[in-house]
Amino acid sequence: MGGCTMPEIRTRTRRAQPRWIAAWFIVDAVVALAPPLYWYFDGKADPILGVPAAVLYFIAVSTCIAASIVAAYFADAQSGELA
Amino acid sequence: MLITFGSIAVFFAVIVIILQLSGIRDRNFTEYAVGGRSFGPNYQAMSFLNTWYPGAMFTAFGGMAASAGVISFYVLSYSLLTVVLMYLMARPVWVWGKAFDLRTQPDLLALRFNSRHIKTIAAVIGIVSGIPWLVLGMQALGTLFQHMSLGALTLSQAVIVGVAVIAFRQIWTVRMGMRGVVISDFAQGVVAYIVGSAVLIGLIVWMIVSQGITFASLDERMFAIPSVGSKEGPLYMFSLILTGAIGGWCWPYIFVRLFTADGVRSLKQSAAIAVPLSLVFCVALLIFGMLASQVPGVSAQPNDVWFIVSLEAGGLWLLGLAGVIVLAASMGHTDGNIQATGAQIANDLIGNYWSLDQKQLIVIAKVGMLLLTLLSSWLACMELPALFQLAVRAYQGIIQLAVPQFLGIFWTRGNKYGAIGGMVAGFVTAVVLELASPGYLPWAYGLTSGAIGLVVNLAVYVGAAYLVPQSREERRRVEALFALVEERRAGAQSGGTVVQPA
Repeated sequence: MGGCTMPEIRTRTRRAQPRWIAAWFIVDAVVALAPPLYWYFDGKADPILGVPAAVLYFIAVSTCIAASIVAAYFADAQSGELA
Repeated sequence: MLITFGSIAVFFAVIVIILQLSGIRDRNFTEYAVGGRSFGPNYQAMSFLNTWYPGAMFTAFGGMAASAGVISFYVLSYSLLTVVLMYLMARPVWVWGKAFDLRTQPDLLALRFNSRHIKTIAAVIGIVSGIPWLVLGMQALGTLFQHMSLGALTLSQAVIVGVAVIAFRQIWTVRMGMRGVVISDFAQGVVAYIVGSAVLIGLIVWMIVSQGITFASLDERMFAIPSVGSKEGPLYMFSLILTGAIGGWCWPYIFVRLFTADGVRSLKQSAAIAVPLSLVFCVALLIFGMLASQVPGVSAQPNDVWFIVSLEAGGLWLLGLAGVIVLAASMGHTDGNIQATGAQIANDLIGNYWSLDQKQLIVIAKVGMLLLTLLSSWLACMELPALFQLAVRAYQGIIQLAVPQFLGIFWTRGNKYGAIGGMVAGFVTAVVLELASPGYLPWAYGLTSGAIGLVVNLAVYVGAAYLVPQSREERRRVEALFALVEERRAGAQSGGTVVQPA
């Protein structure tokens, strides 16, 4: 099914993929799921930038996730990963 | 009524004209089931959104934001996290799909675990779990048509009208298969989520400027998130977001989107296109719902918030547009569900045990879709008080597909015994716990039954992976599958020759 061994192929692939993409995706999961974070914002209606803190928490988390996917796409496109 | 029903009729006619002009002819079952793997990023993005966000977003989640407040934002978190998963699994799923002509989610599980029976089990779980949502989607149209009739129709009359409209729409879904679904998803998606977002933002501005409603006007309880000491439990929110994110790709009609793209680039680009749209739409919808809780009449009927505020702010024309937007979102979800289920009936159930040619597969898929449309239309016209609870429970069950699906894609260990045993154990655990304590489990700090089922499922899968080692032949087969993905990636990066599967 191919001329390269699995370890060889994995090594080549790993070098081509920016590690910060994986790190950012992990951050996405942590900020969206970590209970202490949303516990902290429970009931917080004080405005930050004109938006209640509890609402801003969800918007910030979502913006972080959305930005990570867009950034990952551009990074992959630049590295030739999507050719 | 002329304005509101006229708007609906014009939109419906435009969608039908688009489909008629597309002149689709399916040459084989792959064309019919996955549109010949031919769609670029824009079609993929809109098709994903139109299947992911049903019309009930405007009623159920808009209503939740209006009645419960910020907790409703969990839908935003999991809807975006699930796209991260899509991004990660895009390459292996698409490469295997193309190389082995996979058309459904059970096809992929059968390939990975080398088991014919896992295909049947996954298909049955997917089809049975999807039916309550199909029926709910049809019934939700009743609310839409009752508002479009300005109260002239009773809810039961409106449900019948809604069911008749969506059932009539399925003529084109049955005839044109996946290609028809994706093409119409594009037009419907533009209306539902781009025009819909613009209307939502306009209504937010109207509430702030004209009605003087701001976040400061809202009750404190609207900012509560289930935390330590809450009724639901401190892990309730965690469980909702986790199961929502990983469960999204367990639905057959969502998963099949990975097979309709013309390449890995299109899939990943579609993710980058879909997330900003999803973010703007969902934030606008949930903020709209929260602020609209202060509009007179909404607190008594929060699920009607979209129609109440549209009529109040813009009269009949805006109400008509609001109806068109909900119909556009509903059609995408219903079409996708029916099309994917029909393909599964032919490919994973009948075709799994009888040898069928391409033409027979298409005919069986069409008959399956027709029967499913008739069955769900009939159920939608009945009074089924426990339907919503059943649908929620179905979600806890279907997410048990996640363990073999994701571990199967990303981990070379794992075998059919763990995959089937884990799914069954997880499913049974979820059902038993859900029956004992519907909604959430107070003794598990608010985790849902599906989350506990996932832990059991995972334990069985991992345990079997180590206790029942793969045979040498099976290990070679699985490693070859993973090597194929890596070779395609390496080939793409070097611009070199792509190795074909054996």
